Amino acid sequence: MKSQTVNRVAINRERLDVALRTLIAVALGYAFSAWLSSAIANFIGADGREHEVLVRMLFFCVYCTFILFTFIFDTTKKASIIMTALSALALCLYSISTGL
Amino acid sequence: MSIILDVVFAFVLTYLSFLLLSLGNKKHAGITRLTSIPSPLLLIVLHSLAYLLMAISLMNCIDVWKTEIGVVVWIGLLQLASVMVSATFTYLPTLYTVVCNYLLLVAFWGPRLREK
Amino acid sequence: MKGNVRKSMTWLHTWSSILVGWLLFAIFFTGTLSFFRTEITYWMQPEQHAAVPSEKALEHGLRYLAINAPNASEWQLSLPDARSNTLDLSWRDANAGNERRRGPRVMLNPSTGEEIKVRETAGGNFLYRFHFELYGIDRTIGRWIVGVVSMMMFVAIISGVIMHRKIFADFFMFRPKKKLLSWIDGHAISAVLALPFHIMITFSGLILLGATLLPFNSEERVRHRPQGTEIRQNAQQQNLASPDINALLALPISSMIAHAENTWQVPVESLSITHPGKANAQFTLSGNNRTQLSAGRGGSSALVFNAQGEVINERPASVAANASQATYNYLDMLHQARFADTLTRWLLFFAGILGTIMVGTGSVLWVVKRAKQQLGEFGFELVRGSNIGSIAGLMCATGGYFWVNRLLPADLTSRSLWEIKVFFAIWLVCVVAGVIWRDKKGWVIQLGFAAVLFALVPLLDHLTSATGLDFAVANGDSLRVGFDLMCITLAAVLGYAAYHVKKAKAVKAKRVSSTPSPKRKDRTRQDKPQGDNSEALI
Repeated sequence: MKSQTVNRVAINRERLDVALRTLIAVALGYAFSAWLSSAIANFIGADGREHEVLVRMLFFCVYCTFILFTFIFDTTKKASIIMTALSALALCLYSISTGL
Repeated sequence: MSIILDVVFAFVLTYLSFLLLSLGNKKHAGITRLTSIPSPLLLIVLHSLAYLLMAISLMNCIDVWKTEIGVVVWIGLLQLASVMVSATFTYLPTLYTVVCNYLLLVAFWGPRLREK
Repeated sequence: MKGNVRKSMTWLHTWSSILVGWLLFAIFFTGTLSFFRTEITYWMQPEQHAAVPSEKALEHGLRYLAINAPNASEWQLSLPDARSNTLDLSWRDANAGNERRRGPRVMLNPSTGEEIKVRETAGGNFLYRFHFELYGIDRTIGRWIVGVVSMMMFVAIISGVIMHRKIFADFFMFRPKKKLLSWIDGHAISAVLALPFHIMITFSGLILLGATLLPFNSEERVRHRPQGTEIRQNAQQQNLASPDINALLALPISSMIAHAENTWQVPVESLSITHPGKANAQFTLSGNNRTQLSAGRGGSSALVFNAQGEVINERPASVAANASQATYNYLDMLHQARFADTLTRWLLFFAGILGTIMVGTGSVLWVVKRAKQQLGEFGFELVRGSNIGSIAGLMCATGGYFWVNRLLPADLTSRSLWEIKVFFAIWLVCVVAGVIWRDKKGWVIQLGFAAVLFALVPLLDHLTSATGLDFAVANGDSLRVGFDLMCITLAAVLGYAAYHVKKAKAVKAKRVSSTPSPKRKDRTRQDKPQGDNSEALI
């Protein structure tokens, strides 16, 4: 009985880990990719249609990379800290790029 | 008519190049005269010849369709040829063996074929 | 996540693909068919089958326009080409102003000059639109769904490359008759050997949906409308007398066409005549002479002649403004294959088939791998059942779509809607049947049914078309014959698959349990089968 309970706890924890990582990958990843790709396009000096297509192409490459990395880390805690930090950095870069 | 010949020529070259590349696998080499994985020197020779054939095929495609579309056609032919090589090995192993043995006679001349 | 990078990628690859595998298969399959949507629409409008390309096409076209659109400011003729056997005409009326769209459109038989009235059909365009915005739901939501699924596909491809241990050693390896290994090899081969295509088609599909998926990025572009003043002035100045047909036919259009074809080394596909029948008439010829994909949709050049047959202008192909636009255009053109000649189109189609096989084998592989351990569990049974409906059921629905096109009366109101309804009805029945009969019986029935549908398509075509198949063969109608041959090929593949499934031995469940299984390493007791001897083949 005790081993069954332990198993259930382990399963639930794993599911929570997966849910959390998925949330980080999808939601935070979207934001990160948007900020970073826009920042890069701004730094390059693209505008108009060039800016739009450059952001489109960069966004999906960055987003895919973000998702892959979110699931590579050993623990969810490590993944959430690092990806959040990276997102904050991307936001800073975006803010700087729009401020220029 | 000439475009058909160009396409066939490019395809045959890519097919032969993939045959040569496939000889780097133990199972593929095993049914040819090699009987085992080729020696490192022979592997370099086979791969070099394969890439040379691919390059000629690419140049042919670019000549017909110009660069941007030529590359697309070439990659398409690579994909088709690689599937054909897998199919040949699986379903027509005798043909695979015969063609590879001929290629080996062309590719290699002299020293031992087998890896010790 | 699972200990090392490879294991994490394996996990990610599995779950990012299996959750949406059924929809992904439909997107890939309909997208692959969309490469030939024009040809599919041609087949589904059998009234066109009587059309035979002819050297007299131009003469018939000019005669028709002179009689029916004498006062038009512009005539457009689309000549028969590799993808169309008919002569398509349209014209812009003199008082149409600066309307951007063409005016009335007519289809003629190039050899007889008779007008062809085609039946209403959803045609290949339904399959094309379905593959990127689905059907029956708000367009934006449909594109979002397809976008999300495509992003999961992109993640699955990249993680699949990372997780593949012996990607080069397995390059040419296919081991038939080995059950699980055969499915693994089939999945790997179809994925790896066409990997450039899969990456390109998924990435380009995502960026094409970028306007929807990235609403923060949409640039409001002011549409540049051509000034209408000039056209209106010209209309007022026009002499409203009908063009003289004989004078029209005496024009050196054939020499213009010969000049253009000699310059480009490709056939002329369309001819546009402004101020037809007047001294200041201009003839604009264009063809598929594109050499650069990075130029985008304006990548073809055109030649403009005067009424004496002299070149007065050459409209060069457009050039991308910058590297980003060039790259975007390249991917856009590759995805939609608007540039492709016959060979390139078939190569792209072949790669699309490999992609479809990749998705299908992946879904089946997931079930085969877990059959012994997870038989009876809800998630497993759901995937097992949905595989049948999404793979074999979609084949049945597509076959049924072609059948109903010919069986419905040609003059039925909203017949295109009926065609689509029947498509989804068949698919729904197959999905439900697949969930009920999740074992090999379900596969055999649906694959067999689809095989019969496709095998009889040529007979259906022969009996229900304006002309028989012998006419098609005699006149070299490669579009129609090609379609029928592809149906036979597909029927053979499906039939063989049904036969193979029927012959194969079923896998007996090691353990049947309705509770979620714990981690395999932590199994503390062995459960004996509870009397349900469910079997799973795939």
